[in-house]
Order: sequence, then C-alpha cells, then structure tokens
Amino acid sequence: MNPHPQANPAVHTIHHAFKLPLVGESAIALDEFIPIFHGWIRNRALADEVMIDVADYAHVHGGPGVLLVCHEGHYVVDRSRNLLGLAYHRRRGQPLADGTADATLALRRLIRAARLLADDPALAGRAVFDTTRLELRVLDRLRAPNDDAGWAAVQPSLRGAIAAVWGHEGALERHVGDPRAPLSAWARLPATALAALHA
Amino acid sequence: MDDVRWKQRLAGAASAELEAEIDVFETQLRLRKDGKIEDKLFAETRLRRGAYGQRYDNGRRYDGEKDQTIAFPCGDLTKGPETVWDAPGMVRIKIPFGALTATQLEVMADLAEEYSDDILHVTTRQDIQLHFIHIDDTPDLFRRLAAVGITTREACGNSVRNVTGCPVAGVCKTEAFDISPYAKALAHYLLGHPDTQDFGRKFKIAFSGCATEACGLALMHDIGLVAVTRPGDAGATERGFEFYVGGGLGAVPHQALLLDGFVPEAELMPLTQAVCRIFARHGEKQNRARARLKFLVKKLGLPAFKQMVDEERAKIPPEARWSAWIDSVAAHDQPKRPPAPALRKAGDAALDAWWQTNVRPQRQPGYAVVSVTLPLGDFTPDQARGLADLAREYTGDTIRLTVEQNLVLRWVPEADVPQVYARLAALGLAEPGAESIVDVTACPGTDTCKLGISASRGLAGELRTRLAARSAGHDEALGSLRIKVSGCFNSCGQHHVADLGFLGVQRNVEGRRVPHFQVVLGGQWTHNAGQFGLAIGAVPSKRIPEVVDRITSLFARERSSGERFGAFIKRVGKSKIRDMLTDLMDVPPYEQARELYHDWADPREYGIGDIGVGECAGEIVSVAKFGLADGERVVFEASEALERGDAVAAAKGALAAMLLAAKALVRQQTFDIGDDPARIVEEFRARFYDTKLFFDTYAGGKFAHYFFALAARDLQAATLDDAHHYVEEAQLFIEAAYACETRMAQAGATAPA
Repeated sequence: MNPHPQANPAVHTIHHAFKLPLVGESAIALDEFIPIFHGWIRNRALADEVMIDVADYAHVHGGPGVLLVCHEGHYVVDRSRNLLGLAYHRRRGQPLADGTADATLALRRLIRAARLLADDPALAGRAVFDTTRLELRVLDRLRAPNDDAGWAAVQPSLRGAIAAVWGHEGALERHVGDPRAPLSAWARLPATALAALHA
Repeated sequence: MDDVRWKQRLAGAASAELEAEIDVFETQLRLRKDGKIEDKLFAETRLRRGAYGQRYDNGRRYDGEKDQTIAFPCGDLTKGPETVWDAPGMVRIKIPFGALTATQLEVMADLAEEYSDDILHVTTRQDIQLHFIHIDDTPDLFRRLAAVGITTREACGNSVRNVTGCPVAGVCKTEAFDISPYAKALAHYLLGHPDTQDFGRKFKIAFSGCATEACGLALMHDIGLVAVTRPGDAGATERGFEFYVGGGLGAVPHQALLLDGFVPEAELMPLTQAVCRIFARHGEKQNRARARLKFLVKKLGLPAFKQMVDEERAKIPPEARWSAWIDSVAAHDQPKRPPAPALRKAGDAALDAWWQTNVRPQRQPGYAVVSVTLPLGDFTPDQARGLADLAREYTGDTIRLTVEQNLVLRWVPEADVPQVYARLAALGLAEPGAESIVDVTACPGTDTCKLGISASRGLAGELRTRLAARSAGHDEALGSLRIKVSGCFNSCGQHHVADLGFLGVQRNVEGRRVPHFQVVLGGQWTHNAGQFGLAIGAVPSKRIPEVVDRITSLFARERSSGERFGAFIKRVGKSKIRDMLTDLMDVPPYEQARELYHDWADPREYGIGDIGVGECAGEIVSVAKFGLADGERVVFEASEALERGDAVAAAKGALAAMLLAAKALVRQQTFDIGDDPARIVEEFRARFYDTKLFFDTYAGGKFAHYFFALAARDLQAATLDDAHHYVEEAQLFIEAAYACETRMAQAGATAPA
C-alpha cells in the first residue's frame, strides 16, 4: 500500500456560517430549491465545489430547510431563527493565509450562490436578497467560543471579510443570546446591489 | 487559534480507557492515510467505533440524467472497500435504552451544528445519528461525546448494538418492574466484553417491562427480555425475565423463541454471556446472509441450542460484576418537582388535541409522560437545547428516545403540562399525533443509506402530511394504526410489525425503473411485536397514499364494533384487499404517467441513467415480466394458504413462485427450459448463480440460496413457522429476480441466445 500524500491533513478551517436574508417571507416555498440544487450538481454550477447531494429538511420547524451538501461546506436555504435566507456553512478546505481569508472565501461563495438563485429562471426573479443585513455565525466552540474572548478573536476577520466583499465594514454587533449557541453577530450594511458586491 | 485541540481541552474528562481508545482510533486514521492499514481492516475498525458509510461514498452519483463522478480531493484514498475517504459518512451514537441527560443532548446539538448538517436524527433503535460527517472529524466528535459519558463503540459492525428498552420503563402502569437499570447494567457489561468480539454478524438486545405492550419489541431481537416476577422467599417478590432468543427482522423475519420462562436477575448477565459465546463459536462466519443468531437457533433447534447454552453457562467462572449492580436498581429515575394533578385543560383546541395523543398519566399519581413528536425522527440543535432546558426544569434531567423516533419527557407534574406544551410550541415541537397513524416512522432510505432502494422518508413525510390533514376524522381505532416504511429488504423501518407496512422495491417498465413499495399487512406492533405481516403486492411509490386511503377507508367503513385492524384484515381477507388495489399496480408507459417514474421528494428521474432504453429491450423484458408477475401471484396465493393454516400448500406455493421467477430469468437466455423443477434449478444455478448474474451488490447470492434450499426440502413436513419463512424468502427471491432482469436490460442481455 502506498501512502497518500494527497489526503487532507488535519486542517483547522474556521467553520464560518454566513446568511443573507431573502426578501418576502412567502414568495418562495423551500421545496422550490430542491430541483435547483439538483440542477447545480448536474451542471456543475459551482466550479470550485465538490457537490455531493441535496438534503430536504423542510419538515423540521426552524431546521436547515434544503441543503446542497458539498465537500467544503453546505449551501442552505432555511427559516432558522425565524429568518428566510440563504446561508453558506464552511466546514473544511485547504488552510488559507489567515482567518480573514477563510471568512472572505466563505462570504464570496455565499454571494455567488445568491446571484445564481437571483438569476434562476425557475424562481422568476422572486429570489431577492436583502444586502443590508448579514447574519454571521462561527460554528467552532473550540476556537471561537461564544464569549467575549471568542468574539474578540474572530471580530477582525469578520470585519475584514465584509470589507472585502461590500467595500465597507458596516456595523457589526454581536448577538448575545443563549450562551450554548454558536458565537453569532449581525452586520448592518449599506444598501448595495447584489451584482455590485465583490464576489 | 490553531494550536488548540479538543484532545487537550478535554483531557481527563472521560475515563482513561475511553480516551486511550479514541487516541488509538486517531492513530489508525493516520496509519490508513499512510497506507499502513489495509482498507477492509480499517472499515471494520471504524464501524466498531460507530462511523458508518453513507450513500454515494463510492464517489458515484446518478444526477437524474447520468452517473457522475464526485471528484473528492483525496484521490484514491479509501476508508473501506469502494468507500472514498473524503465522502461524508454517518455517525451512530448508541444511547442505551434511549436514556439521555440534558447535558448529553446539548453536546450532541453542538456536534450536529459543527460537524453534521444541523440535524439530530432518532433511529428506530433509540440511537441518535448524525449525517454528512467527515471521517477526519470523528476523533474529536468521539472525545466530546466521551466527555459526557457517551461512547459510540460497537454502535455498528459485528457487535452488540444499542441495548434498547421501553421508554416509559419505571413509570408505566402495566410493567412488572422498571427494566432501565437492568438494560443499563447489561449494556455496560457487554461493551467491549471479550465474549462479544468474535461475532459473524450484529447482535441486538431489547428489554420490555411487560408482555402486552409494544414498547420493548422484545420478540424481534436476538435476545428479548421481558420483565416478570414470581413469589420469592418469605413473601418477597422475585424479579426475573422471560428470556427469548433468535428473533430478528431483516430480509426474512423470525420471531424469538422462549429459551427460559424465568431467569432471575442475578442470572441475566451470565446467561447472556453464555448465549454470546455459543453465537461466537457456532454462528455462521462466512455467509453474512445466514450469520444472525436466528439462523443458528433455527439450524440447531431450540432444545439443542438451549442445551449448549446451559452447558456453556455452567462452565463460566463467577464474576462479581454479574450481581454488583443489583442493589442499586431501586433508585433510578427521580422527579424534579412534586406531583400535582392536572387542572382542567383550558379549552384550547390545539392543546386538547395534543394532550389526547401526546400525554399519558404515569403509574405515579400526579405525573405525566409527555411525548414529543419528531417528524421523521429529526430535530435541530436549537430544539435540542430547548428540550434540555425542559428536562432540567420539569423532569429531573430525564429524556428518553423511542423506537418510534420520538422523545419522551417523564415525571412532568400533570399541572405543569400546559406550560410544557407552551414551551414545546415555541420550539415548534408541539405537533399532536404521537404514536398514532400520523406518526409514520421510516428508515433513512435513499436519502442517505447506501442500501436504500426507495425514498422511505419521502413517502413517510408525504403520508404524514396527508394524514395529519385528515386526523380530525380519525376515530380511536383508525388513529391508533401504525404505519412504518423501510427503504429496502433490510427492514430498518420495521415494516413487518406495522399495521400498514411498506417495503421499498423497484420494477422495470419498458426499460425504465419505477420506484415501488410492497404493501405489507397483518403485522402486530403490540405484544412486543407479536406478529409479522406479509406482502400482498407492489404498488408504485407515488400511488401509496392512495393505497393508504383505500385501506383505511375500507377499515373505517366495514369494521365491526370494537374490531382491531389485524382481525379486520384477517376477516376480510388479503385477496379482497389486493383486488381493491389491482388497478394501482399497473404502471402505464413513461409518456403517459411520468410522475410514477420519480420517487417522493426527489426531482431526479428514478434510475433512468442506470438502464438502457430501446424497443427491443422493452419487448423482450415484457416476456420475462410475465413469468415474474406469475411468480408474484403464486406467492400471494401461498400467503393466503398460510393464512388458512395450510402450511404445506403455502410452502409448495412459495417454491412454485420461485420456480416461475427463476424460469422467467432462464428464458431470457434460452427458450428450451420446460417445466421440470430440477431442470429449472439446474439451469438457474448454471446461468445465474455460478455466473453471479443474479448476485445483488450487497446481498450477493443470498436470495438464490433461499431458492436452492427450498427446492431441496421435503415440503410435506413444513410447519406454519417454516412456511411463513418460505413465503418471505419467495418474495425476496422474486424481488431479486426483478432486479436481475433490470440489470440484464441495462446490459442489453435480454434475448435468448
């Protein structure tokens, strides 16, 4: 047996999860995204992602809705925390230069997916994203615990990522809720067209 | 931040032994990456640690038009035969008798959020499963579980799986006594025990507090233990167990047999140990299809098996661990709040409806058991944290998972039930209908399981939605029916013991695959899964809701006063039911009914890329299908004979059905076959078994073995029990024949030479 140098080393990619709200709660049903995500896999719509499958959890209240499961992360359309939106949860990947680069990559992937949905003919222009708000979560209780120290550690990279994509840091505010939940924050951002973001 | 590791952070939180085990596993991961462990060995290693495979982990996926390669970055590194390293997998977390603390639930919520897909899934055996986990994440995941007293060790593989138990044990009105401490003690005793490390197949144990209810499902397990008491010395009551062996579902279900009517509590461990030793020593090791304990019990016969067990028991040197725990069985679960009787329900219709189905009084006055309905067994990390809060505040840290994929809170003061309801409603967990016709259970099926044939979860979700919309019209008899769905013949959805069971199969119609479900009727959920149902025919997946509608409407319309569903089916007869469904079994061509060529909750055309499409193939396939359909008809007639109590006719019918199916396949290769059974067997063996044409990817030649074995038997001596197995085997053989025919069509091998 030969060793496998190409195997992933034990990388420590920060698990950033960013969510962009969709405008209009009832405009689109979650199950409309199922064929769209299957189509993305069929057409290899995301060139730098290894797309695996589509999971349907629309039956779960406040759950992950519909997921496009990829090797490095999941694209999720859900109503979690009472907010309909598209999220990208980064899980793994080659380590980048720093936390800001990690967060920027995750955010750019989210924006790219949002653009694809906004332009998808099956949704006929109903996928309208609110670019003035962004939910940020860090799904890594070891490296980013939900406390002041964790917040201090990740804040610069979150600000950096937003600046890279929006061209503006916006106003970042930590969401202090259930301490058992992942570290999370909201960004208030200047209104910018989806197409004008630096994805 | 990158220097921090869970290993350091949690050092000392778990037992040294458990920490060392996980360290060893992490080393094994490294060795596999370095090419120093062979992949088969690594596969069994990770299985025994609870890290399972998942659909598409061979790196291939059908996208609705064609097969695609999933280009994982790991290259050719595998974590088992045909199992790509980077492909996500499932982690099964054993929860003995389904008992959890709030802290344990919170940790699993964290894990679902950080490593999985934000969903915790309750299985039909009281485990929690997390899906889409990368193997590299498993050591840390195991450490975090170990830190709160959970091990995934032996959750999969050829080992003692999760020990299940009645979720209302200790608070139930009909139990002999609380089985919880016994289940806990036995689960811990057997974990990693040297006598359980050399099994040829998995081994399942279940506890039940009484004979009549369903909760423990003891009779469908390798070992089933039913609590009983008898008068002891000096007026005391002695506790013990009815000890059953050799039950199991799987492809061919077997009901467990009574090994001993009263095993005293102190004998529980040594007798179980003796059974394990006999299974390890004499159980099948080469042929996985015949390796469960049920086959050994059947082969030896119960008296001979019992004699071997008794002799082995006598040889085992006594151990303090056998009885050291017994003194602590009395105090197990304690309430947090004092009892308080229910105040009148407030006239809130939603609360009333929920109370009716999801709340039942405990044996202890003033307390209630609250069932939390989890749709398809799924819940989120946020919901898990909310449930943990409820468990701490109201129940004294007691949560139990159920085999119906729900969760129960016990020791809730009845007066607090409305507040608990309000809190559950805020979490989106106040759906009524627990343990009713609406509460459909299902295995993962094609959603995530490598073996799934049909979308069991998709169908279950659809039935759940439709039945919930009609639930107000359900009377008690209709409302209490159980529907269970399995995505393949392995029966993880436990369809055999449902009133209405569905088993995923497929059919080939003019060169295209059509997802179907076999309709299984006559199972009995109560009395610890007291009876197994039989299939009456296969219907396209998309028409199953209509099947449910017709059967339940007939039951509502024509049942006698007080008549239960099983008795009704027996009185009306399966023939009538089948006749009522015949029109649903015919599948129009693709152009006329495209929706039937899709499965539930999946927009991809079902399997179209896997088979060739052509006029020639379609025409010749239809010839073979006549024979297969004849086989289906004959096996149905055999099941009717079984119902009449005519074992010999049923056994002969099962063989005749297999012969028809085998002949249909042989005719694909030669017209010169005739009707002589010996000739059909011989030709089938040479053309389909020896060539492995008939072999299933996962089951190999198992279904052909059923055929050969039955053809060699003296069917005049068949008992009803034998005949039941033969009919089940014939059904599976016919399903395998359909699958074989499809594969041949795909390969273009459809015309006689």
